[in-house]
Amino acid sequence: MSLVRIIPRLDIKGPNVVKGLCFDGYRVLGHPETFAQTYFKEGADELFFQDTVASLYKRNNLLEIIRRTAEKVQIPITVCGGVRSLDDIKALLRSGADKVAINTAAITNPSIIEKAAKMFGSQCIVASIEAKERDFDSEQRYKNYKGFENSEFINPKHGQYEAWVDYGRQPTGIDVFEWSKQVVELGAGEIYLSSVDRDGTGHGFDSNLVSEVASNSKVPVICSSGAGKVVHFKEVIESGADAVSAASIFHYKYAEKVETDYMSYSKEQLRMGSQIDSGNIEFLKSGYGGFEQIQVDPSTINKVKNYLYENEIEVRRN
Amino acid sequence: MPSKKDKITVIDYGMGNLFNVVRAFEALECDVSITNNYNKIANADKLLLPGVGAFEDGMNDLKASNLDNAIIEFSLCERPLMGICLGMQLLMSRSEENGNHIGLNLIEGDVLRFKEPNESSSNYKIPQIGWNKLLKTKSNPWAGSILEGIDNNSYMYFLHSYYVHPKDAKVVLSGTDYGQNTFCSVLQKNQIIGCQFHPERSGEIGLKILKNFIKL
Repeated sequence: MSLVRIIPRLDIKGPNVVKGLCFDGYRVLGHPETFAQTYFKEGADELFFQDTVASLYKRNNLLEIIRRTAEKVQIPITVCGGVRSLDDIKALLRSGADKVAINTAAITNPSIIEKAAKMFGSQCIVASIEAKERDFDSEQRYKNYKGFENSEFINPKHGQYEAWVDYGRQPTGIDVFEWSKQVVELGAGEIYLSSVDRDGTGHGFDSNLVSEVASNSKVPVICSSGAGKVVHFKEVIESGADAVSAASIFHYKYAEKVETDYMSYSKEQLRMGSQIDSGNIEFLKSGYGGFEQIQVDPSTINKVKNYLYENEIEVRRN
Repeated sequence: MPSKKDKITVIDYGMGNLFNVVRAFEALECDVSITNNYNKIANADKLLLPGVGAFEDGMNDLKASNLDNAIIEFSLCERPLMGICLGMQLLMSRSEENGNHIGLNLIEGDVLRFKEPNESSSNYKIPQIGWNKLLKTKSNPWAGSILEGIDNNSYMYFLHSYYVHPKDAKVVLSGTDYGQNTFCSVLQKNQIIGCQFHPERSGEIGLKILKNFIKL
């Protein structure tokens, strides 16, 4: 069995690391380089950077952050967000990214994966899949995704998973399970799987989603979204994850408590570093959009790895 | 008097990720130049051949600028040359990636694809993406080699579907197990070195290998 990797996820908005809930309502937590260096020293196996708005606004502000981070950490960095062309991929690789993950562009133009895998090698092209469970049946077909009209894997049914794009903002009508097989056929060397429903909640990974995608995938699958307790890492590995990605559980451990009116919703709403801006205050004021049950029990990478090791799951330890 | 900086020449043939390996050498206070110039490569002090991507594309890109011959000319008088990942594979005679393609032939042997998982050995996936161990081979001590000071079972970061199989087992410094595959993860033949993993992405211990290269 290959080693299971633990991969902290850094969601980036502007110059900051943010953390949201279900891909929405970001709180600003601090600077990416600070988090990255901390996680590197703690024994992270890789880092995953997600630009939260690059795809939406068709811009890419991540290059400079990646450049500065890659100088300071000697572990692989995967970057997701705003990749629309082979030139974008080249620019990211030249900035210090080791792998590039693609979601929106892959769905609007699947051949980008094929071309990128041919040009840069499958091993550095990751398909990012943002899955959301369908809670309705629909015959609706999304006009934006014309290439899929004749495809058999459109229109997931109630209870099945649909691929979303633009950082959890747009449904596509495309079935996640079928799409996850398609991206591997196109040449993706790895899949980064996240769950729009579980993101930021700490409720644990979606084991149905994970086992459906990971156990049927020929390439490694990094599973993200839902880690709130150490035991969740073991559960998701047992569901078939080849690597586990997590944000809140680590971020909230290292961030510092900031005493402000709007940060007092929960005693554990924290930040790292002093240079911060306000984040999404409205979302916080409204009680996280009515979602009050964030269940994160902060922990360290070391504790997670020790726990896995004790449970006979092979990990790299310092 | 300040000591003269070690000079490392990194071959830029368009294959992706030079940044990290360049920065790693700069952090080790080397004078790094990145070039696709024939003479600069042929006359370098120490040469680094990086690379990600497919073997055929890599060789084609080298040939397009006649850099294959520059590397061969460089290697004629004994000077340190290190290939990393695809760069290591390009040192070999040939590769079976997407057909059959001729390499630089500085190390005799083949580049082969991992055996696919099967019923008796199913718990691994291709490509190998992640950390894995360097294991000592029976015949070759690491003292005095590029792996001087590295502990047996040290973890390095791998990212590949193909691996090198040198004809002469004496050049194999370390082996690595992946599923039902045992492959050569570091080779050294005199001053020619290959690492299948990425020392520049393998934490402090990976940097130690780059330091050893500087000292050659």
